[in-house]
Amino acid sequence: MSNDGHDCLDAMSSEFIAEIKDDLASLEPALLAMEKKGAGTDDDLINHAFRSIHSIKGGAGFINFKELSSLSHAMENVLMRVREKTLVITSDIADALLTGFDKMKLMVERIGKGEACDYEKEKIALQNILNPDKKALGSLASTTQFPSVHKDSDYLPAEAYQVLKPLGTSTIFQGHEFLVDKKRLDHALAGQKFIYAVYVRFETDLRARNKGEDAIVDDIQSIGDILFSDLEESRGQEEREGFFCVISTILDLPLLSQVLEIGKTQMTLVDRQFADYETLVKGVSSRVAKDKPAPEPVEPVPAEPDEDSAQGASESILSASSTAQTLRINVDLISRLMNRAGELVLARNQLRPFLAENAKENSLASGIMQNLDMVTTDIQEAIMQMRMQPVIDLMGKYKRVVRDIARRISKKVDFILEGGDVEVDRTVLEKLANPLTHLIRNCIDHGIESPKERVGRSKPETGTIRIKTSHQGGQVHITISDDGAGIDPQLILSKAFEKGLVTEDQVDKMTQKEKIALIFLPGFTTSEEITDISGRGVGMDVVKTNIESLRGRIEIDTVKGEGTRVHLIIPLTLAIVPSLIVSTGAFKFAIPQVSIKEILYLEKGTVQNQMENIAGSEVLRLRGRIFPVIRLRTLLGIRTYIEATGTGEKEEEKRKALADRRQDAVGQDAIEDSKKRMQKKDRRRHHWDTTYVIVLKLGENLFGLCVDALYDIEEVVVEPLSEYIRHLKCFAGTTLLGNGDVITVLDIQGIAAFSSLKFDSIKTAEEKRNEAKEKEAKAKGEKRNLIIFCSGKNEYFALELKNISRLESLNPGDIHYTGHLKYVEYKGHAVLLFSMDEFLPVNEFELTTDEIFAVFPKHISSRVGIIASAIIDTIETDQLIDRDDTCPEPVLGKLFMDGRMVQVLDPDKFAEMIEEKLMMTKGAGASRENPHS
Amino acid sequence: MKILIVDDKASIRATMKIILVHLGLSDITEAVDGEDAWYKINDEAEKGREHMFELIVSDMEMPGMTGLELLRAVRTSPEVGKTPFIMATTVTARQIILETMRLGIQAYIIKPFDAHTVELKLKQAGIL
Repeated sequence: MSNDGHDCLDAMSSEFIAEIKDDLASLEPALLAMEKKGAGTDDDLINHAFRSIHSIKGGAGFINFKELSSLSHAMENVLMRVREKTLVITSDIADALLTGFDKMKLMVERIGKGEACDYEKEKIALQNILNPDKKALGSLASTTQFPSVHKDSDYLPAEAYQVLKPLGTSTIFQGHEFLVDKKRLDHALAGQKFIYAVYVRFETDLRARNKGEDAIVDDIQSIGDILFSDLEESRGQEEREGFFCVISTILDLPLLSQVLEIGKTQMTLVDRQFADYETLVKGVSSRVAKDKPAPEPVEPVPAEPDEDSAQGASESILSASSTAQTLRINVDLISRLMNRAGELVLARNQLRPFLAENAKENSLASGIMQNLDMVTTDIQEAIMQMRMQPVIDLMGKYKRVVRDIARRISKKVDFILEGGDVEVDRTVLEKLANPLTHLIRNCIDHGIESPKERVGRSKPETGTIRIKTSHQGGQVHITISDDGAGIDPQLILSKAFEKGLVTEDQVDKMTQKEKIALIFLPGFTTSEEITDISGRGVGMDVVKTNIESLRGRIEIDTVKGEGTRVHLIIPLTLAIVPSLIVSTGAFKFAIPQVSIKEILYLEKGTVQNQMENIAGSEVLRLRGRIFPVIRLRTLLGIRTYIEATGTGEKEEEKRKALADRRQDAVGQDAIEDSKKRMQKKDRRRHHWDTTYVIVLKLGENLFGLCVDALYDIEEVVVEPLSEYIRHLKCFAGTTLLGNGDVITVLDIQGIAAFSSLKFDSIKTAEEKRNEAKEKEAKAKGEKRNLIIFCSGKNEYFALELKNISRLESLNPGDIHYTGHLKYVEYKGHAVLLFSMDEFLPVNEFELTTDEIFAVFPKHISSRVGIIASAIIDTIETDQLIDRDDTCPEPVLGKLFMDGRMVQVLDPDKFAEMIEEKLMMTKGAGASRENPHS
Repeated sequence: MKILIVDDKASIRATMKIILVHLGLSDITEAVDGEDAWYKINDEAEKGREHMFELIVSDMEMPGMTGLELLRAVRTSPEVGKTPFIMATTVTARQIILETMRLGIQAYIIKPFDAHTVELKLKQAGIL
């Protein structure tokens, strides 16, 4: 049975190469796993590796790729011994297999270039493993007799046999014809049976499934008849990888594939069938034929016998060779499609306002718009999905990297992958390859200690590197952690200092995290010697740049002696970014939606109340959390113009936000300004009166960005900044809005870096504050509202507002004296007045001023007022009251407010003392009255 | 031709019935599960040869007696053992298909089926 279909095979070779590449990709992890498990390797794994190498060999044979075929044969031999359990994979054997694998990969890469590959070394290494006994394939014993007919038709009466040609385009049957007994064929056809040509592969279909040849014959005979088989002929022919047979059955192709456990591509109907079949179901076949006028020119990827083979016979006949659900497509084509889809989104956005306008007059317009929206979104999503690739495609490769590096520097490392099925845009995945390689190298070289050291530190001898990938809110989180030595911030610091990357001044202010972040500086390395793995000082800064170019972030957590965790946060895709359009002044900006946590609208008045100043930055307090706030206006230096009423002339806004005034003008300006405002002549709305605060996520930190107005969320296609302005940190790129405006897309990370937000110091300051507050809260509870009043010239007292019933202003002339007692008239009653000097050793109260005040404490049995020379202020304070035992009663403690010392009165004690005084005056009155009577 | 349709789903029985009637096969009895079918098959057989079903079209997965068990029962019965039997099911498990084939069925129809498929399968089974 010669292969005379080579012309067709040439056309198919790219398909075969693609398949070989797939097989190679699945071979490597299997080999690595086998090495790791050693003698304990389970059969599944071995069989998997075996199948991979075998189909590579098979594929290579089909495209006449002798080098690959020969090398894969050598590898197959080794694997066969492993499978027979006569060989246990050691690291040396794994080395040989893996180098063989590498060479095969190289061969496949070079295939189109006509370069020859020397593979003798690898082949010999593989053969040496097996030493003298190099057993070949095909030694399976079988005594089953096949109804076999030789093709040699010379000896046979022509009318007794019929030549059958397989249908379809499958390369497996290319150039093959089968001679079958005419009577049996006619009988089968008369019974309306399907006649299939089937190719049974010894390895994949039988041995890999632990089936013998007799088992498959049994199976076939249970479901139908064998009309032809060349199993006998294939015996003893080493290069044969399978045998052909022709069978008749009532089963549809998907079911046949299921029952025999043979791929659908390895079976096809034969031509005689087609003629009869067509007449049998002409209605159906003509219907199908209309849909599929010609066989698909593209050879589908061989599909495993699939579960949902629920299709009728009618379909199976024509789709016998095109049952695949996957199709290989050139990456460039997808990229082009992707770009076009991006433009389509833009065009849709541009079209939207026109259609929206028309919608009022023409009801069709809104329908069209909806339809367009739906289709565009659908296309976009579909293309996105096309570009998505599971991260395992990339991560899987690191198993090998880890193994090789660890072996080279004699360390023991386990590599664990989690979340390999998370899908990421392939462009993102491609750009992740380099930084991840760097990080993993660092883990092994710097992180994981040598086995000896590890044992010394009572850690397991084998270190662990773990890569975990997960989806979180439109972003991909990748964590690379090791249980190695960790990073010593002090070491980092001294190295950075040595290399002149930081100054002493800077060092003092650095937080722990910032110190660790020094390793991201260009030129930083802690390695004394340059190894071929790392230590060239081009590592981490390149990693950081790479990650940032993906609009991602990198964070490092490390505990000295326990390990390091590198956290990468990366967008799912780079192409289309849903963004919130905002404006400040006359300018619009886009903010990527993934960075937005929430949006706050601060109304007039609340702005001032909710903004605080901590550690030199403006901060916003929100639900107990506190985070820095940046004003886009100030950040970008945007000026505001105010249209003067009437003239329409624009005048530059010169006023400053209240917080500005607070900050830089504690003195006169602020007061003047506020006075002007108090006059309320200026009724222009100030931009700072109300504001939107976009709360943005930056790693674990939050910060607010104040903008003037919000618009829609649009899906924007981000174009890189033009070269001249690329150095600007605050912008990630530009985009075209629906109305044709070009706006910039804000780079959240850049903005945070540009404004040098001090998250850590704010956090520390806040923590301190909270601590103090907690302390105080423990000491005396929550906030107090105090009325501060003055007795005499400069002695200040405070009483809590809740203990005061009212305040009165009095004319000293209104005071009536009875002896040393002072009274005023209030609503027809005489009210007794005391001054503070009657309770405390303070200066005597002198009624010298024009106006005096009376403070009326609550909870006193009769009306009593305390005279004050002035009411200074009512304040809300959470300040800690400085208690000390030297304070005379009823003073609770002292407070310092605006340079004054205020004595805070204990309301209960004070009330008690007033009552005592009242008793005394009553007593005095009584004793005075008595002599009269 | 006297046909027994066995399926626990009324909708499937109805669909199959419509198709069969459309193909000119109008003498149709329905059974709701394997036991019901087995009872009806024997009931008719007792009445005499001419009353026996000439075709059984059965589902596989049914509560109680499954299609496979029904097939086994039919094939081991001396009276009705040779009745043509068609499976109409979603089951594509290898072992089950093999067993039905060994027991001997005339067609294996995969649900969902359409009129063309049923027509073809009936022709294959030598019914039409």
